[in-house]
Parts: sequence; structure tokens; C-alpha cells
Amino acid sequence: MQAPVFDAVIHAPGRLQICAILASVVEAEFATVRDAVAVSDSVMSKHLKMLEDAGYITLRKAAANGRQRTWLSLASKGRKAFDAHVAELNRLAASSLG
Amino acid sequence: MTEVEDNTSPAEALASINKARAAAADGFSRHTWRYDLTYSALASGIVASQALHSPLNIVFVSVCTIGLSVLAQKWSEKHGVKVTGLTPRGGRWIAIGLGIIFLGLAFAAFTAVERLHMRWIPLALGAVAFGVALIGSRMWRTSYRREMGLDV
Repeated sequence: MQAPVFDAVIHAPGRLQICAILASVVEAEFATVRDAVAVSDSVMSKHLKMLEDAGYITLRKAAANGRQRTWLSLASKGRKAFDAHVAELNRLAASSLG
Repeated sequence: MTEVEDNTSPAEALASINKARAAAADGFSRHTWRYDLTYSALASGIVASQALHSPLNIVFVSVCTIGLSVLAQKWSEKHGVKVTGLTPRGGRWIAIGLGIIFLGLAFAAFTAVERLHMRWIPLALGAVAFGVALIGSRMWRTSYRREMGLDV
């Protein structure tokens, strides 16, 4: 269980959702995550760049059926930061109820 | 879409997490007989192949094992999501249980042929493995969908 820590990089709605998806899978493909988050390619790329620069995610290019696809996964640093951020959100949500 | 919605409450942020997870997992985790039957046939093939003489049994086990790997890979590529049987917390024990049962059935089938020379037993155990795999596969998927907040 991670100690609650607010993470400004993760907190933006798109990036929070991207991290949430990646935390529940081994890997997810760019288009699948983009559609689930409901953003454009460019917005998605911007979010991924910020997460990658923070060392939170890793990107892997792979060819399938003659087409290049990008697979995303959460790095261990990103998993820890995401868990800590969710713990903080839960703490804040609980305190606002109390 | 705005970069940061600062007015998002913690509860709304947590809800958005669940919504995104569900959206990403939906296609991947839908019940499909095609996948489940193929998976069950390959799993039962590993057990039933013990009825064959060596080295055919080894060849058949290898083919079925590679088939399971290819099936999982194709499924991941089709839906853009890769998980292992152990990824979801709820379904983890179903996957571990299936693995233990398959190993037990394969060992029993191997022993029946080697010690008792009863080649029909692996076929019967293969049929059992098919049923267990089919039920287990659907249970795992149901558990995963429930964990992702999707209709089962």
C-alpha cells in the first residue's frame, strides 16, 4: 500500500485515465487507450510524452499485419506514483465526505 | 479537451479512473465461444495427447502449447490489450487453479499410460480438461469484467 502523495503529472484527467488503464494491464495499444480516454491523437501523444519524460511509462513499437503499432506499459516508477496518487484521491474523497 | 480540469473533485477523478478502465477492457473481455472453445480444445489436447506414443505425444503437447500462446497473442493484438491470467486480482486464483488442475490431469494421464498402459484414460481426462477449461475461462472472464466494473 502506497502512502498518499499527490502527483501533478498524473493528476490531469487524460493522464490519470491513461495510467489507470495501464495499471490494470500488462500492455495496451495506443489506439485502444486513446479511444477509452476519448482524446485526439495529438492530445494523446502530448500526454504520453509527459508521462514518458517523467519515467512513468514505456513505449514499444511493434509491427503487426504490416502496420506499426505502439504498445504502452506502466513503468514501476509510474505504478508507484499512480498508486500513491490514487491513495491521495481516496484520502481526499473520504475527508470531503467526513 | 482542456489540459487540466482543476475543478475535478477527488470523487470525480476516481470515477473517471473506473470509467476509462471499463472502456479499455470491454472489447477484450467480452464472452466469446470462439475463443473459449479454441482455448479449451488446446488445453484438453495437452492432456489427451498423453495417449499417443512417444515422440508424437511430445510433438502434440508442443503444438498445443504454442497454440495457446498464439491464441493469447492474436487476442491481444485484436483488442489492443495484453493481460495475463494473473493480472486481475479476482481472476488470479482461477488462473492458478486451472494451472494446477491441468498439471494434475496431465500427470495422471501420463502415469496411466506409463504404469497401467491404459491409453483411453488420457482421452477421458482430456474431455475433463476441456470442460474445466471452458468453465474456468468463462469464470475468469466474468471475474475480470466484474473487477473492471463491466456488466458480466
